[in-house]
Amino acid sequence: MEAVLDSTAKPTLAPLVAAARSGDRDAFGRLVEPHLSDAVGAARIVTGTTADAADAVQEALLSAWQGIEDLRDPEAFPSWFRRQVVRAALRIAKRRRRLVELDIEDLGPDGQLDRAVEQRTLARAFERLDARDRLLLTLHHYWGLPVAETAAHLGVPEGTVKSRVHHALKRLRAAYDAEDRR
Amino acid sequence: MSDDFESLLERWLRDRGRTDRDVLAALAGHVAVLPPRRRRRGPSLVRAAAIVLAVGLGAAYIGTVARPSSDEPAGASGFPSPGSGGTVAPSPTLDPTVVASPADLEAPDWARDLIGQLECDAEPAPIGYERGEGPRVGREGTASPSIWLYGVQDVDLPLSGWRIEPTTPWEDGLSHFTRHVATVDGRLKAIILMEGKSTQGGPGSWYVTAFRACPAVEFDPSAGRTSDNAPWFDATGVPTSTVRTSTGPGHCGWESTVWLWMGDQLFLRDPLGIFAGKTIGRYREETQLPQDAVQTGYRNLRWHLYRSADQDTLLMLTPTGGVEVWPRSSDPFIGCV
Repeated sequence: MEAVLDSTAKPTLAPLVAAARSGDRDAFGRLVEPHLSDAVGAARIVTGTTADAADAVQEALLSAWQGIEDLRDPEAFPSWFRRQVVRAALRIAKRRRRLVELDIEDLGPDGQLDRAVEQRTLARAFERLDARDRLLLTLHHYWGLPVAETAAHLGVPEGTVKSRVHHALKRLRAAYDAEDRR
Repeated sequence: MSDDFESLLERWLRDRGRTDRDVLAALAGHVAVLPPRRRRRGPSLVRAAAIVLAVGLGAAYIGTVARPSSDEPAGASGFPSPGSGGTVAPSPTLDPTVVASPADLEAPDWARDLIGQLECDAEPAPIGYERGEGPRVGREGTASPSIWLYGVQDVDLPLSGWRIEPTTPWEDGLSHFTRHVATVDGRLKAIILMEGKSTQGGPGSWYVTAFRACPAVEFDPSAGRTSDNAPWFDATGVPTSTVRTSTGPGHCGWESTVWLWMGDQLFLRDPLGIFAGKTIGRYREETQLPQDAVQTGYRNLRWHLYRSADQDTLLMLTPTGGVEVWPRSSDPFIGCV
């Protein structure tokens, strides 16, 4: 009888995590690689610049590498790594309080003026939010994380995530309207 | 909240979060050169729980585990005497062999004579070097010294609060200078000079090429210090993990604190009183050790560790002969999110 491989079985992360724990950088690289793009994107949204985002993800990589022994469930690596990214991005965002003015040319891939202006207004409004609101909206609307993981990142009960998102959106909308009137 | 606005937000977030391939490539390259993993002693149950809850929930976690191994060579084991001279090389965990050099650059005036630019109250600290007098340290990264600072173990520099001021106009792919400064009341207390190239605003080849600083007591106390995380040594000069320190989690605004773990106990250097009410006694500074202080033999770059007779406080002898009294936390599960 031929062995039947279950092609639907999800590959486990445990061997890679074990190898990384033993100091295998390649294994660690394979663990983080699928998440780097989203990590940099989220960090860029929270910190405001690509350079700061790269710094944040570098810090997250270092902290994940050094702290991987603390990861109890290997399958939880993606959310655990995101937590390192969130912490680093938030720390850098708070350390470097500044308003980032973005060029219109940087914003709209299609160059349409209306959309570019709309997006610049939104960019300015977003920068008015504090780092926690920026993080919350990033977790919810960019990463699209489930409520439970968002709650874990923020250290709040699951039940309060939705209301916090609602209030953060209200603050963003108010900031957007204020920017629009400028 | 209208769906239109949420759609606009999500579109904008997708645009804003677009990631440059060069940035990803540089970060992937960063993984290949990560420092050796630190092997930690098996913690006791209580200590493990405390680490998970208190350290694991805060940037102190990053501060602790992101630091290079406490088993590094004992180059920092000496207790510097006041006024000791000489130049201290950067941490051995950094790569001093980097030779890539934008040697064709014309250095701006502010990139020269860093020590002359400082506005110290006392003599500048005997650390650092000028451009061309020391190694270029760093790896692929951005024009920010933050990663380097987290790796520095053997000199005292502010851990945060750095500003870029000034920087040369740069063009993608061309060499560039940035001067990072730490000031207190507008007076310049520490300088880090970086040189290198950036790629589309992202990581490129960036190196610290010079740094100088005033005595650490002149730094902003809320900025944290690199020496908060300096490795500890026992009485025989052997690196130890029995005592560990790290800067308080920055994302909770606790950079001004230092957390010291000794056995199952957590002690706090808390000059601003952030944890008042959560410690047995308060942080304070004295001019001499009490008669009944018990020497432990543990020491690092910044402190010699004594204990009070009642074991509830640490008595930390500083290089200037002062004594810092660190209270024990009444709650070893302090943490932040």
